Amino acid sequence: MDADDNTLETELHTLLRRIDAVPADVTLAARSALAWRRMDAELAQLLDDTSGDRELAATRGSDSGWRALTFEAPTGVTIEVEVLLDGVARTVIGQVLPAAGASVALRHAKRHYSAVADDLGRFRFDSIPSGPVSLRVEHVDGPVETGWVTI
Amino acid sequence: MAPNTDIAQLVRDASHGDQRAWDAIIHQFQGLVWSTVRGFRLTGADAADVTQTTWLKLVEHLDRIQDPARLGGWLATTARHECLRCLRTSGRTIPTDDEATLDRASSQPQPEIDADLLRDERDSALWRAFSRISERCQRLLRILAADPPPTYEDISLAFDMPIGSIGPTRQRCLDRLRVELAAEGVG
Repeated sequence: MDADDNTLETELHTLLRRIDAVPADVTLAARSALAWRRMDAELAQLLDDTSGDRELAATRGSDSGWRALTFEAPTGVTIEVEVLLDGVARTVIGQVLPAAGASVALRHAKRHYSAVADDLGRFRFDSIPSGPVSLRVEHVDGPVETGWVTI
Repeated sequence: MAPNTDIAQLVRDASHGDQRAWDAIIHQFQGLVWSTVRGFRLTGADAADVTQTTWLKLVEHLDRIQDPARLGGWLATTARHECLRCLRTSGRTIPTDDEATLDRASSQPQPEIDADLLRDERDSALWRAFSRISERCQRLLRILAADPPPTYEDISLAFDMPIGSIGPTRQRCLDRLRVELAAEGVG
């Protein structure tokens, strides 16, 4: 690499660092992420992630569609989730297996949402804003938290 | 770049809830994560969400990071996957990383930036020239500009590119940038 390249690259670095620095609120959010450290729960890892309804999305605009996610904890507890996208709002419908009534928390950067899974393990959250989310289920076999996903 | 033993210690401390250690990890790698995300043209809430998901995934995996030397690569790879996911979900074009696309001019418009940030004609010309080089070149040059600079090993993992290819590719991308800059009438 010759001197001209060095000069040009330095100039580009200076420009990019000035016009595209990490925004302060992004750094602040990153620092706060440590508060989500898993303490007592098993991690349910993402096994499957499918999205669809491209044709529907094409007719209704790119902000609609669905996505199906499956999480599994080492204890064998699985959490199946379907995310329905409609504009900026998301509906999260899920089922915990083995089926059991349980309280379910949807953790979101902006706030917490709570729901109760019925005897079949089914639960639902409406009008969730986009962003990273994780579910925590107080299952009879022990608490389980899913990995984080952006919805 | 902090020595790997230090990174290993920071990861251990952060996994026990040490906020200062976590802040140090962010300080070390947030430029890498952000430049990766911005390299995929994500803006606003999308860029912020993908970045935050990447950090949350690291929190999730703090007690399983096997090799601290690869932490930067792990973060960049995680961010890249989240970007592709985001682009797919929103039905936008997925960039390809074929070697053949390296020299092809970008067909995607650069996201708007605050014009006030471009201080003079030279800045504006450089920004326009940068916007015209291939998307893959833009991503590589952006990640190389991260502060603090990532290691070639991080970049290799982030781009899924052999370490030996980074130098020559960087050279080609700078050559393309120089050609575009010359077309702007400034050298």
